[in-house]
Amino acid sequence: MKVLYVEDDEVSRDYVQQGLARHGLVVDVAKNGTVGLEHAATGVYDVIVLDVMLPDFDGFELLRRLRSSGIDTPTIFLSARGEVGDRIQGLDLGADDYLPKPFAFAELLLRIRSLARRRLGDPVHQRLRVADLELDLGGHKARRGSTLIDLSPRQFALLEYLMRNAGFALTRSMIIEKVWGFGFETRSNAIDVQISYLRHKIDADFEPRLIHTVKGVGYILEDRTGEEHAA
Amino acid sequence: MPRRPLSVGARWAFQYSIAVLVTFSLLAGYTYREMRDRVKRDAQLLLELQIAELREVLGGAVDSKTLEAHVAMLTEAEPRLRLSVQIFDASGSEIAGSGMLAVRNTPLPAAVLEGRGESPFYELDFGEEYPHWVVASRGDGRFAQVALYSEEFVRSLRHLRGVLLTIAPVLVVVSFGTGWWLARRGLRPLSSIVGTARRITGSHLDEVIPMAGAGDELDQLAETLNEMIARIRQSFEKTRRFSAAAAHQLRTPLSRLRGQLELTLGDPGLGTEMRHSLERTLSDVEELAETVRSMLQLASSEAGLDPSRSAWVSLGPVLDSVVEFYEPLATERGLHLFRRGNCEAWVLGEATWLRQLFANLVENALRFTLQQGGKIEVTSKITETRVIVQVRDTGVGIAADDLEWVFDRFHALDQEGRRGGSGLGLTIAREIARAHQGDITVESAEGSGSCFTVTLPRDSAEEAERRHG
Repeated sequence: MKVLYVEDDEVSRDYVQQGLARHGLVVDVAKNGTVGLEHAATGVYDVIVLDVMLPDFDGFELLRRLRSSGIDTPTIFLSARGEVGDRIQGLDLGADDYLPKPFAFAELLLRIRSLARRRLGDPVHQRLRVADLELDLGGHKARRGSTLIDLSPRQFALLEYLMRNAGFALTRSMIIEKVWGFGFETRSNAIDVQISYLRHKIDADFEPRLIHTVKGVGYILEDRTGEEHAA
Repeated sequence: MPRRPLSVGARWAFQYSIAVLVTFSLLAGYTYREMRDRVKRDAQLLLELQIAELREVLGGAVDSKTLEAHVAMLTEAEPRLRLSVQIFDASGSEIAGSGMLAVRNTPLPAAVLEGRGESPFYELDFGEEYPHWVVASRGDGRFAQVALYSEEFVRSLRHLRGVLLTIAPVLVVVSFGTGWWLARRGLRPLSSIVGTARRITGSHLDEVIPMAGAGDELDQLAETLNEMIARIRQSFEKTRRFSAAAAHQLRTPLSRLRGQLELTLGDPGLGTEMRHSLERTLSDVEELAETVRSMLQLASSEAGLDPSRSAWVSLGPVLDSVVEFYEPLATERGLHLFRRGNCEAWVLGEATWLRQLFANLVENALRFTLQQGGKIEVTSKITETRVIVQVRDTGVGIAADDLEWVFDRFHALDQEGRRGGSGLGLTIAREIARAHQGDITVESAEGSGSCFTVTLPRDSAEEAERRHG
């Protein structure tokens, strides 16, 4: 997967590039709008990550020029301003996503991945499977091996979200936004309690454990059997 | 309870009626005296005229028969006045007479007999209801004295006095009423200024008090208040801009810090101790980032709703989703979180903000309800124009001294025993309520819990009709 990252702050540029590369993404960087536009206009990228504030012209302008030249590469805005107006303006211009700074790296990775996946065409799954955990979306059933697990509708949605993004860390705010459908700030550990209930149902009596805590970030659902063997 | 001071209107009306009463009393007193003097002068004139009639007989050579006839004629001429006459000779002995003067043998005043003074006018009381008024005069060698019964004159004076005394209380009542009305009318622009000023200083600092444009004292007052509000707004604005700017400035370095930490943590070769230390640092960075986000959120809710993005939000589902979200956490802590009451109301605003508002209140209640079995109750009721939501807990409560500060930014952080939280939750809740033209109040008893009451304007019946129709 090829990503273009347009950002004037050198430190940010470095760590994002390194971090994405570590997850197997090919990242080209540009430090201003002009260079960014040149790169982007080639149309070879799967996703473009754009900082709103650039030294020559802003991210909005870059996107406007790009779209008018017929390039429709999915784009994510990053902004330190975080105003609602920015978000609206970006999305109005045809940006596909918006991420306020500071963001969890996992969140950026996930958003890039989901945009790329959308571009390639998201396969319609009827069943999701991780290790011996199986989610039957049509029948609204969850199974661990041969054991049927009873889940509330909200727990089902939570598990579905974790499984759809298996192998990727999800932040608490992403979970709230996607599973509860609202993006608000919470300092409480309400999400952790919800996760612990789910864990209790799908992990307590089974091996291997699938839901893991990623410190300082959130949660991940993955089968770590292989890693543990490797370690 | 201290006695409630009289309103300015009542005071003015009172003073006004006193002034009117004093003016009237002076005027009435003067009028009465004038009338009395005039009536007496009239009577005196009348009596002098009668004496003039007698001048001929006073001349001397008139026999007593003619004298008697004159006297009788005079007495009969004006029966209502009950005139009485006495004629005296040069020595002062009565030679002819009629009426009360004669009956009572009234003597001629010594001054007249001795030739001092001119036709004195005096009063005689014969024990009747009204006195007799008398004029004595000297003719050629004889003297005459004519009197009239003053009933008619005095009665007209008494009538006048009665009228004046009746008018006085009526005038007091009428002038008080008029004064009250005038004061109210004059003060009405003032109470509208007070109302507007109160609303503005409460939360809508961008409004101004309208001026009538007459350039009068009321306009000056409005102008002064507007200047004052503008100054408050400026300092408010400065605070807001400062915290927004500070938060912005923090974002980029926080973003870098976080990214670098995550990148380092992603290195599989990292030692366990180092990893733990970095993970703790990352949690701290995350907490700092939350505070920055809260500060920005506060700044944007203080700036108010963007009307282009406002929509009708059904409040019931908002409350349901918040309660549902926190319910497992409450259960985990041995608390009972539940919702009661009708909330079929729509509020014009932003759903995300409203959710944040109630989430903050519930989260606050969860934070301060520590006792196992404690209750957090979200109740709602609707009135014609408003929806009232209460979040009531059985927690530790708030000290009376702290009640007025709980909505201030970072207030919780000054307190001993703070329990997590950004210190901005209640501030944000209040700003969101105000951005929706509503407000939030708190009642609390230390040790037995707090109750936060949010009041928001709701859709009118017509709007509800339109939505359903």
